[in-house]
Amino acid sequence: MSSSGAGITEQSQQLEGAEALTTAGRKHRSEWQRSWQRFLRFKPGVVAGVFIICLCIVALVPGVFEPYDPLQPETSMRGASPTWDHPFGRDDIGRDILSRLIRGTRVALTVGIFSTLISLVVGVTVGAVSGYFGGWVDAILSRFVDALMAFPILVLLIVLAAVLGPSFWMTVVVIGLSVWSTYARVVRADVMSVRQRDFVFAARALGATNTRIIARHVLPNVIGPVIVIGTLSVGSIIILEAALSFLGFGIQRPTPSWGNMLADARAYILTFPHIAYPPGIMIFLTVLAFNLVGDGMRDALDPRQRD
Amino acid sequence: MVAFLIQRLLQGIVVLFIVTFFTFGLMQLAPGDPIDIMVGEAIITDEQIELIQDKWGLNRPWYEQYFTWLSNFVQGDFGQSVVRTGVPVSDMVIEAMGPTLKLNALAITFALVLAIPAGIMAAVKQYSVFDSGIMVWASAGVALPNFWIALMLIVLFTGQLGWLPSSTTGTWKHWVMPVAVLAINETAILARLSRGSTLEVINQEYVTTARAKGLSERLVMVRHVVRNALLPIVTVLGLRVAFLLSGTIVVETIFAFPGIGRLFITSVDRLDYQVVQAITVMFVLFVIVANIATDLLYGIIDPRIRVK
Repeated sequence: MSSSGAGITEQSQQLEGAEALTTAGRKHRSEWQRSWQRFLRFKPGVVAGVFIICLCIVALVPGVFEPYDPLQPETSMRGASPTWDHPFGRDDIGRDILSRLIRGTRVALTVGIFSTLISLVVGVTVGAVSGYFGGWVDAILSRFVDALMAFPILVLLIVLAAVLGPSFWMTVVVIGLSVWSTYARVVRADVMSVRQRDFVFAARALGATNTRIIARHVLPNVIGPVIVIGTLSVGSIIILEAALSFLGFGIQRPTPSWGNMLADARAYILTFPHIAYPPGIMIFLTVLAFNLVGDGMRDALDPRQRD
Repeated sequence: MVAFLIQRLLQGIVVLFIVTFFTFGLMQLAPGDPIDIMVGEAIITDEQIELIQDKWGLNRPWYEQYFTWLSNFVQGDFGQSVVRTGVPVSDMVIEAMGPTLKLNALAITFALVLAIPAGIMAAVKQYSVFDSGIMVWASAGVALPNFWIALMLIVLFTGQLGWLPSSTTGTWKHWVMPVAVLAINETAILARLSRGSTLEVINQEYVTTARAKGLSERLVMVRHVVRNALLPIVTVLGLRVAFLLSGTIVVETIFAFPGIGRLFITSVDRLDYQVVQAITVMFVLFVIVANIATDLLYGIIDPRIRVK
């Protein structure tokens, strides 16, 4: 995986030296277009992508789709079974499950995407610095990455949430700051190999600063794997958030998250099992969708998969 | 090989040092004053507070407290529970450790026994119905949250069928669902991995050579394909330990299983930080030891590593 995608921009950079800039620009675009076409050939990935776009729309304007107020309990209807008006039934205190599911979509995607962005920025920075400078900088940073990887992630998240106090943005930040080790490892390894390449030496000979070399010549070469890891990690972060909320250390009631909806369901699992089905199915479908898109991207960005 | 192991061991110690320091620091920031938690509602005098502070070393600077704690920890003294006053944390941890180890060992054994043959079969019969089935399972299995699998199993086996109890331990029946839940995700991951690594090996020239020299298909598979395909699985097993332990916390909580994961959650809830701290460090220690064991195992089964 660590080499996938590296060839695309690299090739265009080599071309940049050889041909006129305009040709190189066109060539660059067509490489991404070819990747895009390869992605379109993986049908499950395309279906999953469409599903994610739908979810994003729901998450942006949940109010448009919610048939009822997701926070309004109706105690006389506790645990009511599904009907035409309430297709998924009502939860343990009589709230409409469909409306809560829709509001929960916003929570899941917000946490999934923002935590991914935080971890991506931290991980890529640490990995790039570590791989580019090597030596004692690398030794120190690598021990921190090792320490992070030695934590069972849920243990770290629970301790952090318990100490810092659970809240929505705290959950986003805590997850984001805990899951960046994969980027750091992959980027470090790729940067180590890229920095030995001729075009980096050439840039240095022309007097480019370290920051410029990393930003302009090294990072574009590792962007492929980073995109793939990022997409795949949205899914695992959604599961983490749900697990954390399920255990009571993530999103706090009354804000509905798929995880805390399942925590509510757990208390009545044998009396009202219908409360537990929809949130679990949504987590499953959403995570599956991000994983399939990630798989599709990996194949599409892998330069070995030539058409 | 020995030099490599010593290096890994030293790295492990450094990592453990970072982790204990970080964990200890976090616990200092934690809400709730340990004295308040200890005395609860009782009214105590300032002198009594001072006495407790002296006894627990709470009035000394944090770095002194850290080194005292660390040297005690290394000697197997994890301090005392603040909530169950006077009970040594080490006793609580050891008591809970047994069931957890058994649970995880059973889960990983089942996962390996099911997943590896399935993955290899899928690779050998690539593009067959069986292969597609395994791939669908591998994709679905990683997307299924374990706590939801647990709830669904309870609905089916406790609610509908009434076959299995949904909490605590006792007979073998109590173990079925917790083990199954932990094993299900692992099966999906390991099946996909062993399929992938078999596919990498199966078209290698040495496999063709083995066939060309007239070995039976069975011998080609056992001696040349499977042995090499297992290597990546061994490397991953060490990494899986961290994931298993995360799963353990969830599974033990749902099934009220008297293991270390449940002790961890109840201790966090009760602000019993001595216990939380000890368990966190124990978890990390497990992961580090598992990773070093993996490196060692890798060196044993792959002679190429030993030479390097």
